[in-house]
Amino acid sequence: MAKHLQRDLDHLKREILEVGGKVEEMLHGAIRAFAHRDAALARQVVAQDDWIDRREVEVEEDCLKILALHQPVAADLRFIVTAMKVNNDLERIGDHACNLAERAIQVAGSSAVPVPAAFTGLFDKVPAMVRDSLDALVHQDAERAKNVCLRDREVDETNRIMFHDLQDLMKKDPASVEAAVSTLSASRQLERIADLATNIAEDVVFLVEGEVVRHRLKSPSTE
Amino acid sequence: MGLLGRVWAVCAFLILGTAGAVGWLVDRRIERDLLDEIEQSLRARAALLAPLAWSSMETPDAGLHERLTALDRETGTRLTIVREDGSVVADSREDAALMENHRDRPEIAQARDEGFGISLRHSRTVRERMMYAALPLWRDGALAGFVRTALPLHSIDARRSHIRRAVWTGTAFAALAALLPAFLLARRVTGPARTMTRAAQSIARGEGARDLPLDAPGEIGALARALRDMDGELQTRMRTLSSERNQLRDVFSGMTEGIVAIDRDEKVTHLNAAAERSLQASAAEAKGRPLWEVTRLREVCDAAARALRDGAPIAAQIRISGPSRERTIDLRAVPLRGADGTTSGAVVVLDDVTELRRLETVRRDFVANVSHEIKTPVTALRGTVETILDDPAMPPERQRRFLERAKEQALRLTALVTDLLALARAESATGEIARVPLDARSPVQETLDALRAEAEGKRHALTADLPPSPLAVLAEGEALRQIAGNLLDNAIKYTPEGGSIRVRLAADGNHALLEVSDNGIGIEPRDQERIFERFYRVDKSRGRDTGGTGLGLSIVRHLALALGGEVSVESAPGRGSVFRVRIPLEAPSAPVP
Repeated sequence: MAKHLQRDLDHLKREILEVGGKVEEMLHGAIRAFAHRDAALARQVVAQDDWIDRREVEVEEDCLKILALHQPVAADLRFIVTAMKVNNDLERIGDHACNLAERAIQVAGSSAVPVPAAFTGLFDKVPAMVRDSLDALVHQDAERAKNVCLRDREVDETNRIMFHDLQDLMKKDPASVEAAVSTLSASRQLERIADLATNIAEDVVFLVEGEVVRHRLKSPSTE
Repeated sequence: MGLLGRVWAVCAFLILGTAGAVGWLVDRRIERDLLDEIEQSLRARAALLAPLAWSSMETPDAGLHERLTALDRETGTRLTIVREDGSVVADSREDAALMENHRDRPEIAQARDEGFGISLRHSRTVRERMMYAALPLWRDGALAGFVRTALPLHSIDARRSHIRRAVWTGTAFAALAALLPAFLLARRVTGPARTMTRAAQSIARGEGARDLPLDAPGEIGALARALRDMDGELQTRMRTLSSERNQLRDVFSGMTEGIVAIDRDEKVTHLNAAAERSLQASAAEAKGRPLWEVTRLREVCDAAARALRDGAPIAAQIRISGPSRERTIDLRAVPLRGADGTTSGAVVVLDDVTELRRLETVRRDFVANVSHEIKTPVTALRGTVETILDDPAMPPERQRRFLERAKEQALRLTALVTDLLALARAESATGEIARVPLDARSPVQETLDALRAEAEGKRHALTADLPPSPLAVLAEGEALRQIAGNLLDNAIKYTPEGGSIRVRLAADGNHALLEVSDNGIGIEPRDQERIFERFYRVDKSRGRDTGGTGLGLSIVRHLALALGGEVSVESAPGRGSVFRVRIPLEAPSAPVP
């Protein structure tokens, strides 16, 4: 019985990581498409969302099956609860990646608006947060997960700066409104993805330490 | 129990067994001797009593009992006189009349048959263990009766137990005295075995053989020497193995291909540095974990799993995505066979071919571009020449127009070939160009002079900002002329009529900075990194109209690199562009005044 449970848990972990890998790939594609104004690549990213949605349902069914069949306790139960939450978060990261790709399609034709360097910094920071949160899940490494939570603040701050800067730009140059709105939206998508990566990291802390840290690791400035 | 314990136990068993046997035998012998002695004594007493019995047999008197009792008291011997039929005549301790018939007493029966009887038994009359001896009395050749003497054994029992105690005490002392040397002997015998055990344990721990009794005689010495040889051999092999392993590890980590080895459970056993980079994993964390935990690249995990399952090698090309770029990886997964022929694991080799693929594309594009660029003027040239040939009656002025057009195409072809040659030279010349100290102002000034007419033709305002004193750089005059010429030519071409173009030359740290800025059409950010590629045109239709070959900036970049410098661009669409070329100064360390 325990052996079957272990096998099912391994399988579940594998599925989660597979979905995670795909979501990361989508996110990378969306960011590249936005940075290089590559509409074809952006369309490829959007096309992948169906797969993610299908997998999310399958993973959730697997979670429920394990719960019903093995009635796990303690660490195993926490793992399944975490898996369900991470699964959900990953699906939403996929959605935001799609939104970002759609913004990329919108801006592909227009000329770029000047953006602060901090915004292009997000192109690396946000995928790194997603990667580290998934790595923390793999290694059940609470320290790495907490580190991800702390990095969320920088992303929020960048998003705030973006908002002000682009608002000023739109006031000065009404012709750039369309591109500016798309860029702002892209920034917002990235900020949401960073939030979801933080959620995953918090779930990992729960998994490892059995303690719910949500709304606690956030820095004072965001509360 | 250890060897020492066992040897000593055997010794102790032998000692105690021998001592016990000896004690028992001595005890038995002493008892035998005592009984024999008593028997002899009883027989003698019976013989002494015989005359008295003889006389009293016929006429028993009342004094007989008293006499026997008196004798008894003095000798401690019970005396009995028995008739031939077994009836008792007299007894020293009992009333004869009350005594039962003694015919069946063993000693009496024996005496009757053999002439002397002896018996050891419990007397019912005196309730004591006694030894009885009986002698027959003969009268005229006929049996007349018996004389019986008896002694209680309690006296000899006491003596016997006394002697026995002495015997056993002695034996016990002897045994104990023997046990100590036995222990020492056992220790001496097993000592080398213990030494050898410690030496073997120290070999096993890798500390080498120590304190081996090499000079010990016999088998122990031979064993010790064999152990020493084995240790030497073992250390040699260990050194060979570890040096081979280190070599392998160095080869492994030095490889540019990423290598991941997994066991049959898909757990990672090795991961080299290149694989760490490709998979963004850490070797220390990856070891012992399933591959699918180490990397979330599905293609890598799937290929490894399939190689494990099918036992057949797998080759595939995969893409590893990243937020800034995507890399192309040639993946090969090869199953490993164990000694028993089954699949014991797999090795995944990751070969990053991104750069290779890019260069291939560039080369392919280049060939296609060159063919296309050459084909256009050649076709036009052929067309005009054929038109002239086909129409001999063509008026001279019209013929001249066609010839002018042919010349134009020929010039364009020449420009293209010249540029191609210049590019080939710049590309292959990296590090080979003959760099000499020269004043950077002169080639720049020459270029300005050569192109001023063209700039004025488009009504551009051309300003030059050259330093007043010589600016000594380490370069080649022709290369500098080409760089400045191409940049200025581009600025003139891509700036709408009446623009302003500025050429600036100045010292900038250790470099000479040549800056060509215009207020022309500018370049889109996405094109900025590609304009230095060969034949790359921002606007496919416009470039050729302006007479460009698409090679100018490519030549600039290669020449700048060949001179140990660099080129960069800063541009905003619609606002103009600034191209900057940095060339090392002749004496870079000299302080700038």
